[in-house]
Amino acid sequence: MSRSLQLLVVLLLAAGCVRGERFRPRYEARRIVEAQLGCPEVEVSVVPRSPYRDEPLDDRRLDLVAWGCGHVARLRCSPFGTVGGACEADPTYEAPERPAAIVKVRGRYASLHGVAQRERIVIDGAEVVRHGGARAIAIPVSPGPARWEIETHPVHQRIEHYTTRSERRIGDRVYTRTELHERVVREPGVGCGQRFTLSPAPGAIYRVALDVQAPGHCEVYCAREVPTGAGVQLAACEGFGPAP
Amino acid sequence: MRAIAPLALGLAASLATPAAAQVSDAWAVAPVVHRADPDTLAPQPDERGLDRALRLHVRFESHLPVEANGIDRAEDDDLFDFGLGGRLALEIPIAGLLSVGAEGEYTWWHYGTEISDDERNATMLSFGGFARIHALLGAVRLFAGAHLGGLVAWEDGEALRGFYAGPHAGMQVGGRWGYELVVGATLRTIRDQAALPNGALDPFASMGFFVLLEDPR
Repeated sequence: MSRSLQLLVVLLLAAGCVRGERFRPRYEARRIVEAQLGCPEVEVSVVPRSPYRDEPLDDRRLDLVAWGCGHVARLRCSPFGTVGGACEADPTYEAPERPAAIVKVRGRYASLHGVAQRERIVIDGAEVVRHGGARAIAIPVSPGPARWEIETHPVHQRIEHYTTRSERRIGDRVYTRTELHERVVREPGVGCGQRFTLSPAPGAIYRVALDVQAPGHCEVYCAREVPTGAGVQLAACEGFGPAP
Repeated sequence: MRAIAPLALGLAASLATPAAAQVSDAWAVAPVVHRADPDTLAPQPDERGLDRALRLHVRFESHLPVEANGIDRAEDDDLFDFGLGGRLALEIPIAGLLSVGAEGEYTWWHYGTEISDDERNATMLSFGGFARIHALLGAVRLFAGAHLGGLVAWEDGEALRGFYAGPHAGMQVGGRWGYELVVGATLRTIRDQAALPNGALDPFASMGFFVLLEDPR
């Protein structure tokens, strides 16, 4: 019996040493959501990147949706995170089921810096990230007051150099190899942001512009589109006010 | 447009609100509508670990050769002793790479001494459980585990009871239906004197199929 037990222990140890632990976002997301919801029947799906997250900075995270027991959870999982801590709640905005108004948002820049402009629009805690560009983004919103935040950062790009070192032992001698690598790193620069509240009226279309005069100096403007027979007129923006 | 000054954060007067401003192309955009609706999504299985579904195994097992205790050892016997079995098992993954299961096996043993023309048969039922740890290598799943349980055997009409335990290892390929090869050894402790392998490791090899009894999650 002792011999068979020894064999069993050796087999289990050998199996336990089998590597191949790779990142597994669906497994992680399911485990997290099952624990948080107390729901044993959670389904998970990796979904395409939301159009509300057009990220100019490096972002290799995966977007997942988990659902079960009548709940839906959205997560973002980093492929380089540690097991168990690689997934976090996805704050990306979602269009309401019954959007009542449209808010068009864009940044207007006196001068451009960096390789891109990262615009982040936060609506009651849910965020839209986009490449700042010449065109606005039109966001369907729910009626009623909401807290808004718009901020923009120039994105700077630089080449980062780093070295890796490896050792190889052949016989009694140790050979050391040092390699020089480079990679492109994108970082946000000095930005500017504004907070306000907006209470859209049902059926209305608004324009919100963040005018950036210089790094760290910006103002936000709001107008309401009023359709006319000849096109669109701009009117005062009701329900637009400072953040509390 | 109405503006919020960057420092005062108060509502500025209704500034720059051109009453009949022309629409520029920059504002002529269609709404971006996006919702992650689970009704439109297909559930995906975990990318690592076993498909979390109950599975049924059907295996055919051979014990070659059987050096039956007490009958063959002291004799110059060239009778080919062997055992053939059929095994049913239910297995459920309980973690990414761990599974447990319950199994039952019917085995028919053939043994004896050719010299004295004494060929004999025995049957055995064994019931128990097993646990496995798996390694996934692409489409191939390797596993090692242990099995443990109780048995009852009938030799010459006499019922013998005992226990069994042992290690096993194998490989699986397949999806909802799959193929399985297992090798292992079983140590049986039968209380009475038995011709069946008793007190020594009895190696076995088996092949079989498995099927997932529910949709993988």
